[in-house]
Amino acid sequence: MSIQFKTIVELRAMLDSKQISAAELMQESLGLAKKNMKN
Amino acid sequence: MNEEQALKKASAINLDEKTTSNLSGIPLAQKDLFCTEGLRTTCSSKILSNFIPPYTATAVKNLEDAGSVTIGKTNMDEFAMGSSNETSFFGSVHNPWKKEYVPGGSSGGSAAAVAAGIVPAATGTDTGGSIRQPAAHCGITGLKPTYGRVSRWGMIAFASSLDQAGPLARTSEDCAILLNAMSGFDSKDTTSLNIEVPDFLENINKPINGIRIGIIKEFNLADLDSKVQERFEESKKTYEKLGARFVEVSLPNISASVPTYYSIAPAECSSNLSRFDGVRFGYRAENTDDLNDLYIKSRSEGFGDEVKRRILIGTYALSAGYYDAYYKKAQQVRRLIKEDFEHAFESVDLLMTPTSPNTAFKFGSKGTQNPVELYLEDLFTISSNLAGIPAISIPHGLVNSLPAGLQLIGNFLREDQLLNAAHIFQKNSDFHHLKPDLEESQ
Repeated sequence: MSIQFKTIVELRAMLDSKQISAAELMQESLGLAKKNMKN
Repeated sequence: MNEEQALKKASAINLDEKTTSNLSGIPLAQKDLFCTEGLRTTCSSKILSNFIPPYTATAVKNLEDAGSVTIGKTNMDEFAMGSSNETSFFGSVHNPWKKEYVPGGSSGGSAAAVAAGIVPAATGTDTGGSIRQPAAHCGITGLKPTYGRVSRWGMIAFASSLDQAGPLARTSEDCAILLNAMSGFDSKDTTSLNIEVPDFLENINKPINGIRIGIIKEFNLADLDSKVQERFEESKKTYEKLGARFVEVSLPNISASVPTYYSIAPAECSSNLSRFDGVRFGYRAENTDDLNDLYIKSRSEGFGDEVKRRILIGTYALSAGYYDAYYKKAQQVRRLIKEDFEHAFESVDLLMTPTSPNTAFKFGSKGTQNPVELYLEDLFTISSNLAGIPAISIPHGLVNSLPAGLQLIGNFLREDQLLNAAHIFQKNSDFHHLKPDLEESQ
């Protein structure tokens, strides 16, 4: 599930329900940042 | 980017551990004006382009202590001086809604990062509208807290009596979560308020039936773009349906806000930026003849045009013979503006204005010939900085496919009322769910 455009409340729910780990969330966020920096 | 440290911190977070923090494991971006230990902090200026601070700003440290993870720093107008992100030494940030449009400023990088969905929230600072205006132009929510609510320690100062840190996020609820963590007394900031911090989530769902909202008579909204005006009227109707009552209020001195601000802010800027002399911090010019030559060349080469302009204006306003005519007079008018707000809040709970007179504009289309044109971008936001009171911008629709912002201004320390009124609006509208088409905007 994409984390893009999610709110803190939504990401908190994803983390708490183990849909995603904190490390995975961070990797995705860093990936989005790099993609947008290139553009 | 703070890739290595961010991944290290995130990997160490154990979500099985009982945590009371909503921010544990949440990625955030920090405006590049907050000092971050070991992480380059440039203020988007050549003069600080290689500055690595030995400590972290209290506002950022509070967020990190609550479990959030800093993924990187965001671009901004140089030393927060600008409303379009065009003054950054590193180049401009693009608006995620339309690439050829400005994201607003000075916290344009933070606003764009949230609007593009890279991070759920980011920090900003607001001296004359620098959180609220980019939030409006990028279609997100941005809150400037009461002066003294959030520590300024570790924030690179622009105008010390006006600067205030605050959150940018997709929703007012997320802003409340960030403000809960950022706020609090800090003995390292002499202007930090030593008062108990409420839980800003506690009353966020309270019905707003009966709330009194003031419309400022002196802001002639009929002069605005008709579509911006239309959006404002629609939002008024939404609030009326939710039980709000609108009252016209007069703030007789508010029309003096822009000239007052542009006397005080440059004066404080000229004093604050005197520390960047090529000796103690950042960039140092080469091939200089003597110490005075070193100062002149380092500052001439290190600062951009807008920063130089404001240093010159401020130095003039503070100079012998002109101090009374400009700086002292501006401080006197500032007091009158503050009293106007105090008087208005005797009869209303909140004030409402558009955040900006217009939506985002194209790069290079404003202020290139006459900087005052760009200074007027802050018409609706500046007065709350002068009065030290809180204000929030929330998205309230699109005008010509670009987001428009609605500003709510609250009484001293009443961020709870602002967040409540903003949250109820967002529960009854879907403007904060609108997303830019990033493929189309490229």
